[in-house]
Amino acid sequence: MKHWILLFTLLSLVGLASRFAGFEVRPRGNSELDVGTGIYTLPTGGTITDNRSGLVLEARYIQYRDGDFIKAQGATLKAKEGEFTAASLEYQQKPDTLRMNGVRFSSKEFKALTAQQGLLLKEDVLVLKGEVRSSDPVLEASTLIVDTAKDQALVLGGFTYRDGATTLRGNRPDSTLLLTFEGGKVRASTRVPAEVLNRLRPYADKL
Amino acid sequence: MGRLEHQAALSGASVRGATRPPRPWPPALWLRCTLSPLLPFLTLLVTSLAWATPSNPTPCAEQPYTLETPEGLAGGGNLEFDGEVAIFSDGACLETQGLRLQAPSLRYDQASGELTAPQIAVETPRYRIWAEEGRIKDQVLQARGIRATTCRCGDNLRLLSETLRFDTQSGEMVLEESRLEVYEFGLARFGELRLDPNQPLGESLGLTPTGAEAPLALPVRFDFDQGLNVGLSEFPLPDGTRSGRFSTRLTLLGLRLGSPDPILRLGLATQEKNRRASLQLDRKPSGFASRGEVVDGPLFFVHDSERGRYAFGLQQAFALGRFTLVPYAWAAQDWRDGTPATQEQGLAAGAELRYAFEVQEGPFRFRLEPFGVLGFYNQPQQYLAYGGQAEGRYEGDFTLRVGYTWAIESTPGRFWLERREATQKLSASLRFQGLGLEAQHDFLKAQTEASLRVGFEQDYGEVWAQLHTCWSCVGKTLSNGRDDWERRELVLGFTPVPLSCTYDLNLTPFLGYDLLRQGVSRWGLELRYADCCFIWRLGYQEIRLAQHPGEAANGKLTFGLEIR
Repeated sequence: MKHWILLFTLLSLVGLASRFAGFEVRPRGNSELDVGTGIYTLPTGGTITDNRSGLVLEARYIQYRDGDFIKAQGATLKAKEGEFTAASLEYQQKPDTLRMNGVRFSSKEFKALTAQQGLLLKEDVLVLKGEVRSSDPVLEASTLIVDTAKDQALVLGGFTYRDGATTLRGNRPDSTLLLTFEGGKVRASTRVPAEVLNRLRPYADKL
Repeated sequence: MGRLEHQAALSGASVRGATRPPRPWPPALWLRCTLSPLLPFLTLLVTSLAWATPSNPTPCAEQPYTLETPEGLAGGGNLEFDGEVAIFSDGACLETQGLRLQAPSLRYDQASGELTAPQIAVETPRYRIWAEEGRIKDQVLQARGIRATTCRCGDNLRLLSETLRFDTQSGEMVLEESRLEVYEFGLARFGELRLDPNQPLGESLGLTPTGAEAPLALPVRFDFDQGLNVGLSEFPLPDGTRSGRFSTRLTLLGLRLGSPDPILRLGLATQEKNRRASLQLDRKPSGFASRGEVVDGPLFFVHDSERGRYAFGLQQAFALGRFTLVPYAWAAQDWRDGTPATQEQGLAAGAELRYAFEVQEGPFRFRLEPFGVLGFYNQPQQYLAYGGQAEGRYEGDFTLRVGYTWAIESTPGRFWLERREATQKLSASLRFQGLGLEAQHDFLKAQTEASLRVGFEQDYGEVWAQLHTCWSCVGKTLSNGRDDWERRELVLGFTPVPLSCTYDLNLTPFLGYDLLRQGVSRWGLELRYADCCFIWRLGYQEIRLAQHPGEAANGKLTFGLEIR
């Protein structure tokens, strides 16, 4: 087995900057292919670019199988929703989901949004769970669902939201808060329209 | 030990009231209240509480959503906030220093820092207030269309007002153009009424002496003591000033009616800062009697026609560090033994000098206050008196006090004003949990008094026993035609916990036994009933064997009313 790995390491070095069904992989060092499983490993990391979605992944360690998954550690992901950094990351092509641990996210709506876990769905919906924190707007929550297409974010469970000298708290486990981003301003409402709640709340169960 | 102290000990309620802080209103008490034996009132109680209790009693911090604002903590069922204006709906509240506000909705403007709400209900430690609308800014609540009450339920005692201004920082509450109503009967109108939200209404109105914990006593007297006593006693009259305090009081009393010696008393008293005046006229079968005083700064005029005492003069105190110098001068008349035969008239001038020394070290405290009076008359006579008071006190697990009071007169003073009666008294007291021991020896009278009180505190009240003894008592009482130089009286009583429930009642009984004369010395029973706004008192006390020179064997029926 060991000589097989050595062989494909050599082949990868020859095949630098090759495309893989929409992905362009740029290893930072070696790229290893396990022929038995079809899994590529970039032990010193590299960059993967999805030319179709504009996804750019940079990581210290990457493992992927073409058309199936990408796993990364110490990753930075630039997407149209914003920029993510994550301690670890796993992309599944079917269904099109991106799971992250120790995630930090910045976009035009949120600055320095962090959470223990994150899930990015293909419907342009981001789900964050576990010690969700944001510096602007100042938010602390347990669960946050961001609908980037509609400039809305739904907070579920107890939360703290600060605007200027005013601090808003949701004190109950079933608290809800809808943040709407409009013209650089944030509108907060605890009375969430049923249509929005029914659409966004189910996403929380996917993580 | 003075007679007054002894009487206070006998009426357990006043002793307890003076030493025990007001009890809080624990939730468990609600249960006990609802188990009140007065079942016929239960339905009414529930009905009353139903509308008296705020519609949303949940603490503001436990509301589903809260908003921390510079004005306090706001909360409510739902909230819309666009970064500038926050609107609470589905029930809203605000908690800030000294008040709790509830309203159906509440609007907070972050830019101006202003909170506005319609139909507000405000609670302070002593008041419940309703207003048509209220606005809070810079920690000040301003509201209009005011109804305020101190009642636990209902508002049979209420203040109606156009506007209210409540500074939550200073704790000052001002009602403008208000009127006081009892059972919808208007009692008084005020231009500007200042209330302390933490103090009883009686104190804010000037009906209760400042600092006294006692609730407002009804200024109507109705009792039986050697005859019927009925009328107005110190009845407050609003004087129309902007202060809103009652400073003028009217007394119109019939005393001992039905007895051979009835008295009709008319009195008027008024008080302002540094000025006070009072006059009391008694119409008796033997003629008229009057007493009164007028004090304006250092000037005063006092008189008591029955004792032949009249004086006009001035006196002023000057404090110089620990020294206090009180120079005086007056023209006076006095009957030295209470009869015209010993009448003295003339001028007097002099000064009193006092020195107050006090030191405290941990639980120990020592106080020494010597004094001297030097006076001159328009006769070749001078007056010199000196003496003082020394007191040591330990306040720790137990309280021990030892004091000595003495005064020496070179020659008897001519007038009662400058006179310092010669005295030498040693007194001591010890208090430890439910045990109280007091003793006093008067060296000049060679008289010793002692009192031992033992109390057993229970959840429902205190059962107590008091033994009062006196050896070589001066001012003897007579029984069976002989002087009583010794007294031994044992009094047993029960003092229930103060009424805290609504539609509740309690009984305060006591029974005294004279151990020397082998008979019941006194007994009494007081019934107290609490409704939403008042505590009604009906009591009867009878002295069968007098224990003090000032006591006479008789019965006394009392009726009283207090604002809760």
